[in-house]
Amino acid sequence: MKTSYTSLDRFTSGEYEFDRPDRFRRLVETVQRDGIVARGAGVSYVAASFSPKAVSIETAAFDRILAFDPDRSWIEVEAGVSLGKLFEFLTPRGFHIPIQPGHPQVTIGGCVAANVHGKNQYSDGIFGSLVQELTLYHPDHGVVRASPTENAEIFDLTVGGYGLTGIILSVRIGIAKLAGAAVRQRNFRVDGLLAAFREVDRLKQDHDLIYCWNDLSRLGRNRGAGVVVTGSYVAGDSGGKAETNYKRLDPSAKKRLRPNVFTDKAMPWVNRIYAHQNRPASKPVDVPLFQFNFPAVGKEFFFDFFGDTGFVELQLLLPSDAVEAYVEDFLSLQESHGRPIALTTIKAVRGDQRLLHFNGNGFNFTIELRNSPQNIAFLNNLDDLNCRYGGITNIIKDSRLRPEIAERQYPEIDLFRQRLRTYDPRRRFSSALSERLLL
Amino acid sequence: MKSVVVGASAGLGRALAEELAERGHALVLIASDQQDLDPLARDLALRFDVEVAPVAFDLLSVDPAAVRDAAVGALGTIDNLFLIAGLSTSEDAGPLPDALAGQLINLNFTAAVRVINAFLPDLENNPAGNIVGIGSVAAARGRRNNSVYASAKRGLEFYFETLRHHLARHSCRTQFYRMGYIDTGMTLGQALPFPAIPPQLAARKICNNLGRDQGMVYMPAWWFAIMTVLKFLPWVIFRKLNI
Repeated sequence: MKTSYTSLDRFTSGEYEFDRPDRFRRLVETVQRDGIVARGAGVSYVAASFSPKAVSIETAAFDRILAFDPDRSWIEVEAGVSLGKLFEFLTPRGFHIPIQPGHPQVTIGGCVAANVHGKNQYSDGIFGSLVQELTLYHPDHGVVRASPTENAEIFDLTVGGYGLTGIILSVRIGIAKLAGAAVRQRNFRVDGLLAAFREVDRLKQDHDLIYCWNDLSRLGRNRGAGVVVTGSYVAGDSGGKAETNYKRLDPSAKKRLRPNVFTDKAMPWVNRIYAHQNRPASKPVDVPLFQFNFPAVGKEFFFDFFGDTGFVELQLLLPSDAVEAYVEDFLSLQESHGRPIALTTIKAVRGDQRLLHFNGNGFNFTIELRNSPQNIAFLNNLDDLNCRYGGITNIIKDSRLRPEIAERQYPEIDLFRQRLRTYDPRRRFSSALSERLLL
Repeated sequence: MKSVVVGASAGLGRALAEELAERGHALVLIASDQQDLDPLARDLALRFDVEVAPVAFDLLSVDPAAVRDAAVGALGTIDNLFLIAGLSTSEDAGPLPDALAGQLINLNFTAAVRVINAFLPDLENNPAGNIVGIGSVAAARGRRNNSVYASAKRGLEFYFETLRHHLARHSCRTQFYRMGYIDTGMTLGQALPFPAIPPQLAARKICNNLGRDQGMVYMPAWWFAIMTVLKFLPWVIFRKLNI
C-alpha cells in the first residue's frame, strides 16, 4: 500500500509504502522484512519516518497509557501516545512531562527517537534524561527491554537514535509535579542579536521558559532586535484544561491553501507585525498550561506561509565562548548573501554531547528560511562557518544537512554507525534521514 | 452499567470500549489476543477509572458458556452485550478454501449466535439489557464479491430479527446495524467508492441508541438510499455490475 508523505518543512515528499497495524500480532508480521521505519505523528521537520526504500509502520493504534505511579513520579505508555493525550491525563492529576516540544500531536516514540528538547533545555535537559526504561521490537532480536542499566548499549542507541534500532513499543518516563496551573509570561525588548544572546544568558537560570525571538528579516545595520520571552509557573486553579479539538498539523495534505507569504519583500512586514503583537506589556500575562506547552497550536498556518516549496530550518548548538565572534561573522555572511530570515530564535542549552544527541553547553540558535536555491546556498556556506566555531546542527530539523558536515560536527557519528551495525548487521530499519546521513 | 464487548481489540470494538468506558461502564473485553487486550484494559481503567477485565478467547474454538462464565465471573450481572467481532477477506469472491469458508461463517454468524445464546438467560429479563449486533451493507443484496461474508452477516441479521421478536416479551432490547465502511484495518488501503466513517463516530452513535427497541438500521443512514437503489435494480442490469 502506498500513500503520500511530506516532511513538515515540505523539503521531502512523495508516495511511500506504508502499513498501519492495529494489533500486536499484525505489527510483528508486518516488520518481518528489510527496510522498515516507525512513523508516529508524522510531523518531524525532516523525513525521519519514511523513505523510498522502507515501509513506514504507522503506530497510531499503539497509543495507550499502561501504568501510572504518582508516588514514584513515572508513567508508562505505548510509543504512539501523543503529548496531547498525556497532557489530558496528567494535568488533572497534578503532573506534567517537564520536557516536551511545541505541538500536542507529537508522540512519545518521536520524542525518544529524536531526543527532543523542551521549553528550557538549560534547566530541564533533553528528553532522554526522562526515559527510565523502554521496550522495542526488532525482527532479529524480538522484544527487547532496555534501560540505563539493562541492555544499556541498545538504550543508548535508541534514545536519540532516530528510530533505527526497532519499533519502540513502550516507554517509562519520569514525570514532575506541576508547579502551577498557569505560566506567568513576561517579555523584554533587546536591540540586537548579540544583546539577545547576553540577555538569554543572564536570565536562563531563573525561568521555566526562556527564549528570544529576533528579527533578521531585513538586511543592513541594526538588525537582530527582538523580544526575550520568559515564563514561570504560578499558582492558581485555572488554565489546566486540555484542548482536544485543536487543529492538526498535516504536511501531507494535498488540497490545502499554502500562500507564499514569506517573500523577501513581505517578510519584514510580517516580522514587524509579530514584534508588535509580542511587544513588552506593562503587566505580565498568565498563559494557560496547554498554550504554554503547545505554543504551535493555532499557529499551524505559519508553516503554510512558506508556500508549497516549504522552508528549511537550521538549528545550531553554538558553544558559549564562540558567540561574540560568531555573531559578527554570521551577520556579515547573511549580508553578503543578501538573504532575509523569516524566523530567528535563541535558547540557552546545557549538557554533554554524545553520539547523535543535539546537546552541549551554549546556545540553541535557530533560523528558518524559505526553501529556495539562494537560501540553500547561504545555508551551505553557513555550515562551514558553523563548523569553524564548533557548532552542531540539529539532525531532526535540517533536511539539507550533508553527511560530511554531520561528520565534522558530531565526533561520535562513526561510533553510532559502528554500534548500530553490530546490533543490526542487516540494517533493517532506515529512513530518508538515515540514508542521507549514511547512518 | 456493565458491558461485554466481543471483538474489542481493534477497530470498532476498541472504539466502542473507549466510548463505553468514558460513559462509566464497567467492561469485559473479549478478543483473541491477550497482548492487545491488556494494554487497552489498562489504558481504559487508568483514564476513566472503571473496572475493565480483559479476557482472551478464540471465538472459533471456544465454548460460549466459558465466555459467559468469564464475563459474569468478572463483573456479575451483565447489562449490555456487543457482538463486534467479524472477518472478511478479499478472497471471498468465488470458490474458497473450505477452512476459510468455515472461518467466515463461524466468526460472522455461528460464534455470535452461540455467544448470545449463552448470555440470553442473564440478559432477557434485565430491564437495562441490550444486545447489539453489527451486520454489513454487503448483506443488502447478494453479489459475487464477499459472498460468504455477506451471507453470514445476512444470517446474523435474520437471527437478530428473531431475537427481537423473542425479546418483545421480555425487558431486554436489541439493536442491529447494517454497517457501511469504517476507517479501520479492514478498509485500510482500499479504494472505496463511498467515504468511511471514523470508528469513534460509529461507537458514539451505537452508545446513544442503547435502550432503544430497534430493528435493523443503516449506519451511516445515507447507506439506506444507496442500498435501496441497489436492491431494486432490475436483474438485467444488476447481473452486469462488477461489484
